[in-house]
Amino acid sequence: MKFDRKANARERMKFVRLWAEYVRTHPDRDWSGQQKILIDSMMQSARSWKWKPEDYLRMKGEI
Amino acid sequence: MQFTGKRTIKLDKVKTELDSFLMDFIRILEKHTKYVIISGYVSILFGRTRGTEDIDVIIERMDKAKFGAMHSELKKSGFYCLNADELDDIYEQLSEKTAVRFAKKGQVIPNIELKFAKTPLDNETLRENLTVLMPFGKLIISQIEQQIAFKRHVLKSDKDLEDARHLENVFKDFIDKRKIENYRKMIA
Repeated sequence: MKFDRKANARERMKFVRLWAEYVRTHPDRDWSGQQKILIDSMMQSARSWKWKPEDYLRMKGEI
Repeated sequence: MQFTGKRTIKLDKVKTELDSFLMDFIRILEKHTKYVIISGYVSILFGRTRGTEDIDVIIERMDKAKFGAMHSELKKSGFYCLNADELDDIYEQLSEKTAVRFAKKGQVIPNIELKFAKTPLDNETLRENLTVLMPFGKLIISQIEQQIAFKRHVLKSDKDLEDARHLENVFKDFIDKRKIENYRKMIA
C-alpha cells in the first residue's frame, strides 16, 4: 500500500481545525487537562533518552 | 482564554511539565533582561496537541557581565548550556552565531533555544508582545499575527502550517488579518 502524503496532510489539517474549534469553545481547563496527558507523557519519554549534548547538537546540524 | 486588554490574555490553563520547565527558566531570565517567547511553544500554549523538543526565546542583547550574572543564576538552578561550559564561549556563540541551548542537568530535551535580538524584526518582536496571565505565572509571547505570518510564509513545514491554522482558528474573533499581511511583507 502506498502512503499518500497529501491525503495524510489533509486529514491532519482536518483534525487541527476540529481541535482548534474545541479549544475555542470549551473552558481552558477542559482542553488543557487533555493536552497535559499528551505533553507530560512526551516529557517523561524524553527524560529516558540518554543523549550527549554534542550528539544532539550534531543531529540538529549545529556543530 | 480571554483578552483582558489589547495586549493581555488571561488563560486558565492546567500546567504541564513543559510549562514548569519553561517557567523555571523564565523566572530567572526576567530578572536580568527583556524576553519574548516565539514559535512552536506559542501554539502549544494555546492548545496545539503536540510536544516540542525546544522552546525559542529572544532576549535583548546584553554585555558579558550582565549575561554572566544570569548564567550563574541559571547554573545554580540546575540549568546547563549544551553548546559550551565556559561563560566566554557561551557568550561568544550567542553574540556571533544564532543561538545557544539550555536544558536541565542530565537532559538535552526539552531545551531553551536562546538568541539575542539581532534584526529589526527581532527587536519588533520584543517590543510588540503579548502578556499571558495564567494561574501559575506570567509569560511574554510574540503577537499571534506575527506567528501566523512567520509559520505560513517562512517556515512552511506541515507542522508549521498546522500551527498557523490552529492559532488562526482559536483566535478567529480577535485576529487582525491586515497585521498578518503586514508581517508577511516585513518578513518577505
